[in-house]
Amino acid sequence: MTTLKRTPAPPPPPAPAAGPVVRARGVTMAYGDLDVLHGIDLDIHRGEVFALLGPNGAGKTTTVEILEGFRRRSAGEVGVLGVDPERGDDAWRARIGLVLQSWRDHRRWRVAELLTHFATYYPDPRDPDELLALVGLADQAGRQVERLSGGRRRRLDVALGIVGRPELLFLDEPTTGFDPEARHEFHLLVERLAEDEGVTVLLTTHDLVEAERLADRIAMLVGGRIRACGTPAELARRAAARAEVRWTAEDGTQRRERTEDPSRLVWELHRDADGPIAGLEVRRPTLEDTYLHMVHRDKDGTDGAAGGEARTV
Amino acid sequence: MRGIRVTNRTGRAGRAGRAGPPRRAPTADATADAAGGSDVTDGSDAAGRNGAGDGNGAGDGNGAGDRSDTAGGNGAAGGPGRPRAAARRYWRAGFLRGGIELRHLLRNPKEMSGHLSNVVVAVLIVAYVDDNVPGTRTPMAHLVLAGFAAYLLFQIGLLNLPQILVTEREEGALLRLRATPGGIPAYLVAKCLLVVVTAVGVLALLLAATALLVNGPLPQGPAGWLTLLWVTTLGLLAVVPLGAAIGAVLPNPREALALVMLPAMGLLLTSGVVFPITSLPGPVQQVASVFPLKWMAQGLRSALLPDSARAAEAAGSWELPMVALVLTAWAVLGFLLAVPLLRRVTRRESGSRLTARHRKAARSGAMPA
Repeated sequence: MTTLKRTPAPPPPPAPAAGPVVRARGVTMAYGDLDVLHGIDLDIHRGEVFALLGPNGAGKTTTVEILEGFRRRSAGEVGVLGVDPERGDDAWRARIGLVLQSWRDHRRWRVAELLTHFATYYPDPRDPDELLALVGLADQAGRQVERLSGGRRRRLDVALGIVGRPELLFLDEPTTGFDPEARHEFHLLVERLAEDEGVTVLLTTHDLVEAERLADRIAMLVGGRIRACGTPAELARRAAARAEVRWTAEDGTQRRERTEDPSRLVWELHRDADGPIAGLEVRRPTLEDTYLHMVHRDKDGTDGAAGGEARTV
Repeated sequence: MRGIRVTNRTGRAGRAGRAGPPRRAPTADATADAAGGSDVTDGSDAAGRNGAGDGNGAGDGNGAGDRSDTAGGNGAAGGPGRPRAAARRYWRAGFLRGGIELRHLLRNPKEMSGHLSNVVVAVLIVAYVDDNVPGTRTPMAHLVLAGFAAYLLFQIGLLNLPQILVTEREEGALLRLRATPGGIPAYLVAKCLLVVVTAVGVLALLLAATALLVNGPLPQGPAGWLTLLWVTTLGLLAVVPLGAAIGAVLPNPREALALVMLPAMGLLLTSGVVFPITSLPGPVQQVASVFPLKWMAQGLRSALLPDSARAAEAAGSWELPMVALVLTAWAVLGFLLAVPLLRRVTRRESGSRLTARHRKAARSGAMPA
């Protein structure tokens, strides 16, 4: 009955989501004989917080710097906001914000002075005073940058990164060296940016808890390949580690069992015991389990099944 | 201890609905041609260049459907008719930046005392040197002062400027400006402003202080002032681009100072700056006359000293055409070196390289980690 009906053309996607903010296909990087990236494929969508996880030397920095336009790739295709970063001009730069670890510049400047100055480079900057309030530095406006604590300095870096209203914000290990409270506040700030303002965020971090807390999707980069990519929950489920059920047996010994169906095991235990079970605990596989699994598998040199499936993100 | 505790750290509430489902985009094969020959734009080109428009850089074979157009977005800077507005903005940012840096310089006791102590030294020299230039009736002090003034210009261009550049590069200012639209042009505008105002300020203070306090020399008549003006301008043009080139290649602030200080001192002694060049052996004179300092000093002497003092010059005259020629040659050479070197150093800046250098510096104790 539907044969006569012409299938309507697929509706055009809503304008802002016309394409991924970041799109990479088959990106490779080689320094001489050393291959650092072996074909990275990546799509990051508008308004998404995307975390790139991986051990040191996995190629995180190289990947991000290719996307930032600071490094030339060996091969592959990259589009960031629809532009090849190697040809990004100033108009493109104005749409991107960067927060790097290594900045300790403009020490003599005062906080508000610096932020106000950098606002002048952008066509439609944020109000510096409001921005200082947003990052919690309103009471530091007159202070010299070199007198800020590490956490405040980084928040100033974030303010500088978003003063031009970027559509895409790169955060490079943003909370290294933060105390827990500063970290918490920083997470709230990133969430606010992503949720309220639709900023797309690409975060690199070592901190699994941070990635899990902030990221809509996580890619694990190990040995120059993206080994897994998905929401934190998906990644955790994908772990070879199954859920672990622990309980105290009737003879008082601690028992543990790994299972794919913890609910069934718990039900069976209750049925067998015909009553409550002491010390019962179900541990879901965590992101950390997945991560460690990926990293170890790579170290062992075995390229597991996930290697292929995870390539197209 | 009896309830079931489900530990599930991956479960998150709230934000899941926001991000779209991961879509499987058509995987175009990696076409290397787009990546091959293109230079990473480093932004140090003239600001007017960015009229290229938003999407023009995207022609990498993916087709137009790939391009994410920003509906009413922030990418307006590159629209038609905007490049001039953008260029204006960058010039404005550059001048604002230069003004702020000057204010910081004025408020920095360490740097200000460096410049001011030079003036004090000049006053003392003029006050305590009391011979005449051999064979003339010109006070020796005036010859020394002219040479010292030339040396200060030389020092601002070839010592202070490279040090500022290296320090700011190592702190990450250059990287931040590279990541900022129009940041590098604005940086260069600001630095030019800073150097020119510093040099002119120091020179003016030097001449005014010595003239008022110890009867130092001033240019004779309009012609003398004109000579002072063009020698100062050409002298700065000769040393500032060269200093920028040096600042672009030197590894770190400490070494920068050491590497530049020694040759600068050598030139100070051999260029006939603080005593008549004729008292130096011939070969030394010839080597020194390759470098700009000798000619800057000679040019300033011609502006500040009476014509009768020509007798003490090597050639018996001021050789002003030669002064202009040598300084212009150095200016051209400086520009030829500075433009590619600055472009290179800007292009090479990236977060990881900066981090690596910081680690290295921290290991050698040059900078707190």
